Amino acid sequence: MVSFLARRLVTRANLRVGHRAISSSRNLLAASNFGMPAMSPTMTEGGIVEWKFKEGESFSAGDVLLEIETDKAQIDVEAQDDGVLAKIYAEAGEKGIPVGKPIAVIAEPGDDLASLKLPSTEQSEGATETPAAEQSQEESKPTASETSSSSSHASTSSPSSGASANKKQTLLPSVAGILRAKGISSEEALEKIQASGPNGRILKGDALAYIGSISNESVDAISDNIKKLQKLDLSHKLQEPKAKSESSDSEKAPEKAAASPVSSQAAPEPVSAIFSLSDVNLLKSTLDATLSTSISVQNLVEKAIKLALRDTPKLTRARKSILNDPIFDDIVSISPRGSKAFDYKVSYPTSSARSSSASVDIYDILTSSRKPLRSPTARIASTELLKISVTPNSKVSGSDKKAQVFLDRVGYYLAQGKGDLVL
Amino acid sequence: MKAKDDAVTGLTKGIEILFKQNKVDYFKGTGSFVNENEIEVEPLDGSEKVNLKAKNIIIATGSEPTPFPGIEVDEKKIVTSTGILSLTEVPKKLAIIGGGIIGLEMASVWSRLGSDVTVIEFLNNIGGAGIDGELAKLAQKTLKKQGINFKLGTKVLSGKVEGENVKIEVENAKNGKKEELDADVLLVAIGRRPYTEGLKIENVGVDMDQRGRVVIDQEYRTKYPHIRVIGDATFGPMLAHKAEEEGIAAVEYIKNGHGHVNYGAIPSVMYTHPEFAWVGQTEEQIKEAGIKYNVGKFPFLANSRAKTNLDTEGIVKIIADKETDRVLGVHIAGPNAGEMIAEAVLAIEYGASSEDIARTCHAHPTLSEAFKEAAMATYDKAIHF
Repeated sequence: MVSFLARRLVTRANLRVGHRAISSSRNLLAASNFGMPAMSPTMTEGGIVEWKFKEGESFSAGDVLLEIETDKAQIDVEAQDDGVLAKIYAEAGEKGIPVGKPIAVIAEPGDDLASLKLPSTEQSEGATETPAAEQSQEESKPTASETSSSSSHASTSSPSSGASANKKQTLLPSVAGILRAKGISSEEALEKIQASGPNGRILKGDALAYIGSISNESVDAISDNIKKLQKLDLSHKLQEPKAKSESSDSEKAPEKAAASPVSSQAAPEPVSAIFSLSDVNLLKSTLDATLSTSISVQNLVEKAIKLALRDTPKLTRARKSILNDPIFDDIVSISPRGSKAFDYKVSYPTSSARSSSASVDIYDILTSSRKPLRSPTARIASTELLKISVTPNSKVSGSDKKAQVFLDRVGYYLAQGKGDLVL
Repeated sequence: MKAKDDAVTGLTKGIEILFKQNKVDYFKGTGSFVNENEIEVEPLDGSEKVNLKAKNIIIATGSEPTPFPGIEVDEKKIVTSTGILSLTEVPKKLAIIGGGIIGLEMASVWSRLGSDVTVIEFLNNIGGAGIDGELAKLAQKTLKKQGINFKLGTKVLSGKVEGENVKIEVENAKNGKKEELDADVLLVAIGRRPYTEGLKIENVGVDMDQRGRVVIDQEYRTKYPHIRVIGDATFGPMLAHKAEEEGIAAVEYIKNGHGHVNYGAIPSVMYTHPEFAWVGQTEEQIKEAGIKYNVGKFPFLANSRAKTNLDTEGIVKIIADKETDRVLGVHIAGPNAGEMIAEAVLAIEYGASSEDIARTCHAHPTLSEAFKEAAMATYDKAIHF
C-alpha cells in the first residue's frame, strides 16, 4: 500500500525523467540509449519488473513503457514522446541495474529498425568495455566517443527546447522584433535557436532564452505544461471493477479496491506509518518547564491526529478540472455517500514498559466520550515511537489517497506543526 | 419554432446529401454489436434487420441528458434540453436545475422571450466546471441584470407536476432553509451522460467506466484495437466540435497511423447574450499549476464597433506566461465572443505570444480590435483604454 502510494507520487515526478531520456532520440536514424531512469533523487539502482512493449513495437506518448522496481516501490515509466522500442538490453527480472545504465534503445517513430545504428551501450560516465566486445561491435555502431558526447548532451539538454528550428518558417513578429533589437540575423536565428513551438517554430520564449533574458528552464516549464494539456485527459477514469483474477500483485490490490467503489473485494491492506515522538517529547518537556503544567504526549498526539483529520478532506479534494466535477461524479456514481474514507489505529510499538498500549478508535477522538486507556502521567522514553495504521475503506473512492494524506499530516504536526498542537 | 425545425432538418438533410455525394453507404436505424466484428442494424423504417461486418468500427453514439434522481421527465412540464426547444408557448415561469452552460443558454433564450427564469445551482458559481472564475462572476452579473434569478448553493430535493404547475422543493445547502418554488416548466440540465444503451456493448465486453464512458486509450481504441470510440460517448469535454476533431483523427489513425487533436486548444462557447467563450487554461488553473502569468483585459466599452452597435457588455481577457509571453488561456465575454474565440484557438495552437497577436493587424472598426488591445495589455499596455 505504502509502496503503491509512493508510486503515485513518484510517477508524476518521473514524467520529466522519462521524457528527458526518451526525447534524446531527436535525430532520425539515430536511435538513442534509454538508461535506467532515476525515479527519486536517492535511487541508485533498480530492477525491471516488466516490459510493456516488445522489441520493434512502437509506442506513443503516455504509454507505460515498462515497470521498474526500486527498494521502495514499483513504478510505471511512461513515454512522453512517440517512438519505437528498437532493442531491449535488460530483460524483465533483471535487478540491481545502476541508474543511467542503458536498458533499451529507442528510435523515432517510423525509423527503419533494420538499418538503424544502435548506439553504444557504454555509459558516458566511463564504464569500461572489453576490447574484444568492442571490436566485434565496432562495425555496427558509432564510436564510443561520439555516443558518449551525444548522450551526455542529451542528458543535459532540455527536453522541449531540443528541436531545431524549421528553416522554412516566417518568423513571428515578436521573434523578429527581438532579433532586430539584438542585431541577430534571421539566418543565425534559424540555425541556432532551439524551437519549442509546433513544427519547429521559434516562439518568443525561445528567442528570449537565446538572447539570455530568460532561462531555458522557463521555456521548458511552460512547454511541458502545455504539452500535458494537449493530450486527452484519461486520468479521471472511474473504472468499474472487472473480475480480474490475474491481479496477484499485492501492491495493486488497494489500487483496485480504491478505484472500484461498488466492488466487494477483500478489505484493502492497512497503511501504517511510524513516527518519531522525539520532537513531541521535547515539546512536552519545554511546555512542562515553562507552563509548569503537565501535558501528556498522548494528548499532543491526539491533537495532532485531530488536526490531521481536519485537514485531510481539504487536501484530498479533487483537483479542479474541466473534465472532473466532483459533485457531478457524486450524483451519477453509485458510491455510498457519507461513508468514512478510512479507519485508523494508534499504537506505541516500543512501549513494552507500559502497561497497556492505547488503541484509539476514530469515534473516541471525535466524540472524546471515552478517556484514553493510558494514564497521562506515564513516563515516556525520549526515543519513543508512534505507530498509526490506517485501513482505507474500499467503498469510498480515493480512500487510499486520503489515508496517506492523513498520515502525512500527522507526521507534519508531530514534526513541524508543533505550534498548532499547543494552541 | 418553424424556423428551428427548418434549420435542424436543413442541416441533417445536408449530411445525407453529403453522404450520397461521397458515396458513403448509410443505414438509419439502431445498431448493436453481435460480436466484435459484426453489427446488427434494425432499420428505422421497420424493414428487415441487416448484419454488417466491419474491419474497423467507430462508436459515436453521443450523450443524453443526465436525469435528476427522483424527478421524472415528461418533456412537457418537466423537460430536458430537448423538450425545452419544443415548448409550444412561452412559459410564464421557468425553473432550471443546473447553472451550467446548457442551463444558462436556455435561461438566456427564454428570458429574452419573456419568461420569468430562476436558475437553481448546487455550486456557488455558475457556468459549470472549466469556466474562468472572473467570467463566471461576470456572467452572473450580466444575466442577473437581464432579470434572471439565481439560487446558488441550493439543493433540489424534489420536483413534481401538480396540476398546471411544477412544484420544486429546494434547500439552501448552507443553512438548510427549505423553500418551495412554483413554475410552469422545469428544465433539468445537470449535465449529460454517454449514451450507449442498446449498443449491446456487453456482447463484446468493451470496458466502461463508472460514468458510462467507454474506456479508450489516446488513439480512441477500446480493448479491441479495431473498435474506436469518439465524442461524448467517451472521455473529454462533451462538445460537438471536439467529437468532430476526434472523428477525423480516429479515421486518420486507422488510415495513416497518426492523427491530431490538441486538447489544450478546444474552445468552449456559451451561447447566451452576451456570449461567453474561452479556450486554454483558466486563471485558477494557471495559479494552481504554479505558473507566473500576465493578464491583459480590454472592455468592449472602449471598442468602437461595440459602441456603435450599442452592445458594449463584456471583456476580452488574455492570460500569458510571464516570462515567455506564450498565450495560456483566453476568456471572452461579449458580443460575438464565440466567433472571436477562433483567433485565440489559432494563437494557442501555434504557440503564439501575446505580442504576436498584438503585432498582427486587426481591421478597424471591428470587435476584433478588442482582442488585439487585450493582447497589448497582456505584454505591455493597451492603447485605447
